[in-house]
Amino acid sequence: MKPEHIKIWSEADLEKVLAEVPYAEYLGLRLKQDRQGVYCYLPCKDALIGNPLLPAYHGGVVGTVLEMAAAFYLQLSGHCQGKKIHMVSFDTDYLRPAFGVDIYARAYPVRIGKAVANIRAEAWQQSPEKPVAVGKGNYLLRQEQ
Amino acid sequence: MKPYQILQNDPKMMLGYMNRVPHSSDLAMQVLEVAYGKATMLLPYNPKFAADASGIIHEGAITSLFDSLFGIAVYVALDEPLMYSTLDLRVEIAEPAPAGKDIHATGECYRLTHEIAYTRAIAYWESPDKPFASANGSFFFTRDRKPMHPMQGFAQ
Repeated sequence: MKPEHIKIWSEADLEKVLAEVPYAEYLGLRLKQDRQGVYCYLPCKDALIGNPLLPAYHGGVVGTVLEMAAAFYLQLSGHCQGKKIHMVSFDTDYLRPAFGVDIYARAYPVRIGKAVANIRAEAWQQSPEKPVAVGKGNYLLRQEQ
Repeated sequence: MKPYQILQNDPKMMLGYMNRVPHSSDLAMQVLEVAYGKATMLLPYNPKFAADASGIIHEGAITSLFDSLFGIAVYVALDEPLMYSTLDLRVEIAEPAPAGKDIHATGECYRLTHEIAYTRAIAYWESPDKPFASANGSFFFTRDRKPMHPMQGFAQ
């Protein structure tokens, strides 16, 4: 897909979108934006660790931050108004250990159709050039009853 | 004794295992059963883990449940503790888990090679005959690193 026009959101809009997802609040996830658009920011906390020896994030948390980035991307994309987004599948590849520091994730649309969307996402810590994980998800877009 | 026998024989050992995984403990996951290369876990319903106002469980919590389950399924498939980390994890959600329902996940490490453990699992709220989600994973052994769950001092 070609890059879409980047919409600038107000802090209040992003807060509102986040507040609708209790699990994002539980994790402490934030939505931020830059010139490339909205991305996820997850400040590190002990409760997110899977291996305290390294320490490293739980694999489920790394997968979740990618899923969140993809779902929020869809929700904010403008293609899904009046539609319910259902995650059909999500596939995460773990590329590097995700050590116990803040983690970021950004989503990229591969295709957003009328009924189905395919979204890719990347998570990084020190630098976006060195992703700790990448993922892709298929989403069903159902017209809300 | 092999890792699965240690976990089977002593509930304190099982608790020790879970306490060493902060995220699984924080989600209040419990291990219900282990056998050689197999495990069943429970994620009690908590409205904090909801995806939206309807109270359905967020797929991320299911992803964490599967990853935790695979962690233990690999551990109980081993002859001795090793260090490993998730290489890939695919989760399929056929239907959201309804508000108020505790979620079970059951699965196995179906094959071990020198480098990789291969896993598969399903999740359900009523019966394992009616899964609402499934997952596949592979886990990479780093044999030069200290295992996270050693057999000595296991209970901690």
